[in-house]
Amino acid sequence: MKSLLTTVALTTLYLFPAVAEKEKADPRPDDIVYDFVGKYCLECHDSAVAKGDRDFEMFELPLKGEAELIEAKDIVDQVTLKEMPPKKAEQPSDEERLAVVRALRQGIADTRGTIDSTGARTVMRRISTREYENTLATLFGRRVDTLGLTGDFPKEKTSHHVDTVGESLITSGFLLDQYFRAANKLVELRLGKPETEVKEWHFTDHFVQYEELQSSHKVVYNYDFLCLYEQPNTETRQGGYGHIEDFKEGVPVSGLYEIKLLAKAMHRDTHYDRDIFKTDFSEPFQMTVVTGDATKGHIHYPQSVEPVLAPAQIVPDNEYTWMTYEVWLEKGQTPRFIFPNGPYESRASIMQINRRYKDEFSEPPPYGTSRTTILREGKLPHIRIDEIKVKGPLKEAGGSKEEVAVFGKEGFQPDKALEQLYAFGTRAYRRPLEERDRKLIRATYDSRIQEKATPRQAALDTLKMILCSPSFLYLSEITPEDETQLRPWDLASRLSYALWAAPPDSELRRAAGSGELSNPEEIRQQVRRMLKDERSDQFISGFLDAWLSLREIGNQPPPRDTAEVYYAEDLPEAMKTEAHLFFRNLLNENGPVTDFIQSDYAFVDKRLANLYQLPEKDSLRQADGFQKVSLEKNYQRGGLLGMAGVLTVSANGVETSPVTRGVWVMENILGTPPPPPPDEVPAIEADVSGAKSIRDKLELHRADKTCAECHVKIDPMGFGLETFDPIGRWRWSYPVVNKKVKPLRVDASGEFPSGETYQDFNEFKWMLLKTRKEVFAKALIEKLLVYTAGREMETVDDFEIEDILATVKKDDYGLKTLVEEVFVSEIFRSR
Amino acid sequence: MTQPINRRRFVLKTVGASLALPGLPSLMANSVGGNSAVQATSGAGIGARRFVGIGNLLGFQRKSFFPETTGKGYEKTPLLEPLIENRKNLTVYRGLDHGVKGGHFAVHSFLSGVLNSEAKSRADGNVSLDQFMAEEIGTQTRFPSLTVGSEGGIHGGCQIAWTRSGVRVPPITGPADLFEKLFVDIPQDQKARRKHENHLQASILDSMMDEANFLSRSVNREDKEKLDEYFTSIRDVEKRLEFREKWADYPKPKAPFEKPSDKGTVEDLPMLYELIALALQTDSTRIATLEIGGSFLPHDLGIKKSYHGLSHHGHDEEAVGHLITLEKYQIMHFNKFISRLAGIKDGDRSLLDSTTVLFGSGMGDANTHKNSDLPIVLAGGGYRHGEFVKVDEKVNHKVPLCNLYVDIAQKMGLEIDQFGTSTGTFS
Repeated sequence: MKSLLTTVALTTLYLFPAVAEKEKADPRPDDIVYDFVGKYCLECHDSAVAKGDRDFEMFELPLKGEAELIEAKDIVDQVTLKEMPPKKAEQPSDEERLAVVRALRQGIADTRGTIDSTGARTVMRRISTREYENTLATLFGRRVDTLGLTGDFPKEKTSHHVDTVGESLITSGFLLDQYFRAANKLVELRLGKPETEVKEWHFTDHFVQYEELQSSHKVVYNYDFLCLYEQPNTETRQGGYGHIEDFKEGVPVSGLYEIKLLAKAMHRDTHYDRDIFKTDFSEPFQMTVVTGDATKGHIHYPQSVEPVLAPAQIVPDNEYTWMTYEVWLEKGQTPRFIFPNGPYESRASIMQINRRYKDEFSEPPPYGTSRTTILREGKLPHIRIDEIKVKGPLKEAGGSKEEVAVFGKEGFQPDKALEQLYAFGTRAYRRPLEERDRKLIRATYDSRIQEKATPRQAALDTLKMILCSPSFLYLSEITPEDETQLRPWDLASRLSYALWAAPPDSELRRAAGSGELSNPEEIRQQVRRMLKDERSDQFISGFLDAWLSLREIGNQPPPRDTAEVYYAEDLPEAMKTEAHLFFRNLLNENGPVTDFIQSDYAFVDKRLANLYQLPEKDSLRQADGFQKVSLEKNYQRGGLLGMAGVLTVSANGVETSPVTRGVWVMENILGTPPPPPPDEVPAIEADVSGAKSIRDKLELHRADKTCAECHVKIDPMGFGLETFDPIGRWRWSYPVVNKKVKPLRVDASGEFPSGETYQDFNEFKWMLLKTRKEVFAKALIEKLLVYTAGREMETVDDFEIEDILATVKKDDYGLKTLVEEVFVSEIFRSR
Repeated sequence: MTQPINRRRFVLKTVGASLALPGLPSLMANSVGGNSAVQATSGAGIGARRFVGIGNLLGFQRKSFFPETTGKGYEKTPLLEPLIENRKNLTVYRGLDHGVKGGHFAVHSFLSGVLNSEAKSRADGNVSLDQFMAEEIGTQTRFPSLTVGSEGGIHGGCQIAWTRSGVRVPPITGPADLFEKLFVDIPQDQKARRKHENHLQASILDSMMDEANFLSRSVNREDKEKLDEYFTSIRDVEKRLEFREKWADYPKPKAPFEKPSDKGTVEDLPMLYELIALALQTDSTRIATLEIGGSFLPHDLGIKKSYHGLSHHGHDEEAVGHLITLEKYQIMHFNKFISRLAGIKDGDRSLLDSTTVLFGSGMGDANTHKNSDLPIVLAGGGYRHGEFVKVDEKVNHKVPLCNLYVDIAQKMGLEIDQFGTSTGTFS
């Protein structure tokens, strides 16, 4: 049903610019429809043939139910986009098309209010794993990503990539069990820790490194230095993580620790060929700290919990300098030092240096992966640490953040325990407590006291109970069954989870408490306020992950040998940031959503400027971060479809296919996912001989009529993107698969089902804009509603979606207007 | 509104106490024979499906491993020779792999199909088959799973078992520790802490149930379905907790023999297999993995070379000969393990019939660092066996090894149709 619903804006009339012209004697709408269907549709869509499962023999105005409503919309879409009747059949005149579309639109409008909703409402929604972590961080006043609370949670199921739909957020026994473990761990580590004196550790030697480095480090340095040779998470892992051998047991208690390092950058000016290292030595070396846990896996390998603990700092060249980081470590964690912009694959670079520069070394020259001689005589770029001091846990002025966040300014007070727990309960349940809530809290606390627990321990155990309660895990639903509009407290949660993926703040709670939140104008003000807050980054990234399925970046990673840069420069992160900043900019400026299709600017940093081969690649520095750059006269980028992130998720890592990219465009940009291919059709695979292009193979595929029906729509949405490789680099020809065959030139032209053609990527985008601007805007509105309201849209929702579209159109398609209209819509505000 | 009362009714049942211990055919049988605790718990999970996965670090010499003839009439090769007496109980596969590259750095994908470095954004990470199944069926035994192996080995070693969060399951590194885990009770303070946690969780479950009961009176139809899901989940946790509490109080089976000491994987191999067999028999776990990794030293078989060094044999006859000796030894003990399981009764069938045993390696050819065309043997588990199955890429499409894993998981009772990099089922 969804695919039909979201198709074409009913008001899409680009074909008929002169709508205003008045008809003379209007024939009756039902006759127009009857005649048109009889003349152009029934040949294939009568009861006997019912091609594509569509039987219009009984179809007529007025529309009599939801099924006919869907059919009517379907016909409007097909006729408007000139996809039906098929090209080879007799074509209606533009006037005929216009007349039938107008008649049908009127027929559809007439049903408003007469066809009942099937009860479209948001199903009691559990907070997702992403929201859960964020909620705990808010309630406890500190990051929780150092704890790895949700690592073992099952990955959330999504509904068309949206991870906020109540229906698909499944709860299982396994998950409930995990909730208890997570609550137990969080509460005990953060609030149950013993009072601990500040301690100091000083390490000056015995810096044992990764196994393969040990013999050379022992011989050359006697383990006096800790060296970082490469960025973390390379394939062969040689010196990407520096740990403190004599501090593997980690810190005694969770807390803030000060880490001082005496360090310097070495040989950034090395004379070895830069290509060996695949990193940019014109940039100063950076260093930062991540967590490590010797009991949770190899200390030199990436670990499942290893958030970056502090911003990276520049390590000065050649001069030892004391560098200071203040970091949060959990009990048992030990700091590990990383070199984020370090060389890629140190092991491979050693092998190359040993081979290429062997004449520079004394006899016998080193070979293979041996490092001893290079360390002694060579100029290997690296970060060298000589001394490390650790101090902590540091005292926080005014008490520890979580103590204050959970119990209030005075910290836990045994004589006010219940009061403090009720107050926490209100924040955790996101609504005023009722007597039964207080009763459960009291019962848990009292029973723990009876069991001889200390008041503090009893309170901590009660916190765990609150964090496992359905009122915490599910979004508040106190609006009575017979009311449609959400009551203020429910609405406050819906707003704050949509915009911040976190519980309401005090201002929103105030507005809910006073009842002001029932007023759409107040909602609009709150939305504006919340969008200005940086917490709304959660909305942008959460929504982009759903809308453009950017969450999938990295799911099918490219092979390391053909796309090294993807790993060496952490491109997935850059790709997501680009899309994020683009969205944020349009939102702030109320820029037109058509910029998503085509824009003459982009947000890039040095990495993306390089990937896109923009002139800014030479002027941008790493420290500049992302900048808005002009794309005037650049025909290779601009809009979502020129973004590496989009081009990466719509490919499979190894190769591209106009089919998968076409499907991606139809699903995400146009909101009209094609039906899945029939089971018996084999996938079209790339030709290993390299003699045939995928386009030739598709041509064959389309020769089959049943295949053609869908592919005539899908393929042209993908051909225009053929000039991009699987990670979004521009290409003129396909990669060489067989050295004897000349690489094939890419042909990025295509023909829309309606007959319009384009020659390349740029024309493709303009064609989309020309023919599908409203389709796109409507799909975006709908996706945003699904994401924010937490349910799939239904046919009857279409009326309001049309209303929003009309408002947005009037405002030159401004994104801010679009977002605000979504939040004040009936759909968003209803249960 | 009811007061939260303690509704926990955890009944400690002595499961299958009356079952007689079947005669054990092995060396250990005599010592186990009169042991009441083993007797009491053996057969506890009668007919339950079990899984054992065994992987080595450096693969097997393909030329001496795989036969030429497919089907039932396959010829015995030098490396399959030790397995021949069990040929009706096993199937040899060729042509299966995970399509990963990385040589030693990719061996750890053996049971998952996914490299750890590529796991982060995958739906189930690089969870290995054993851990994946343990989430479902591991709740009913004292140990959801047992991972036996070694910490070391070139580039991290076998690293056979991974949780869905990408944490390598730390291995139990020798028979001494394994024995201790299986037969020696945990210290009192740890026991007390676990008891406290279980108790607290039980009372929290009570109040969750109360609250959900209240909610269920005020919500509509769709929400009721969601709440039902929630109720089911609570009951499921209750069951998990019940098992956990039961195992906390329930004494471990009495040790059937003296605690063995660690003597290196070569010498320990038969003992490790024996302890795994006992772990299954006493229903201490239903899922186990065994790594033959970095602690398997050629020296202990009289070969004064490094295993990894040998593996880059460059077709040197002597080196290959040494490797065959090492590999044959591993296969011989695998064979004994199959026979051992076949000789243990599990209800009216054998323990082998209810245990799927997967044997192989994440390394296809260590000489050239290839992780393709992996050696795979599947034994027991009630499958129809006796054949050499060759999956020919040219004839069929490439079949991922994970397709076979889907079959295994389904046979274990999991309702799934996808695992790792699978594209369907194997069969």
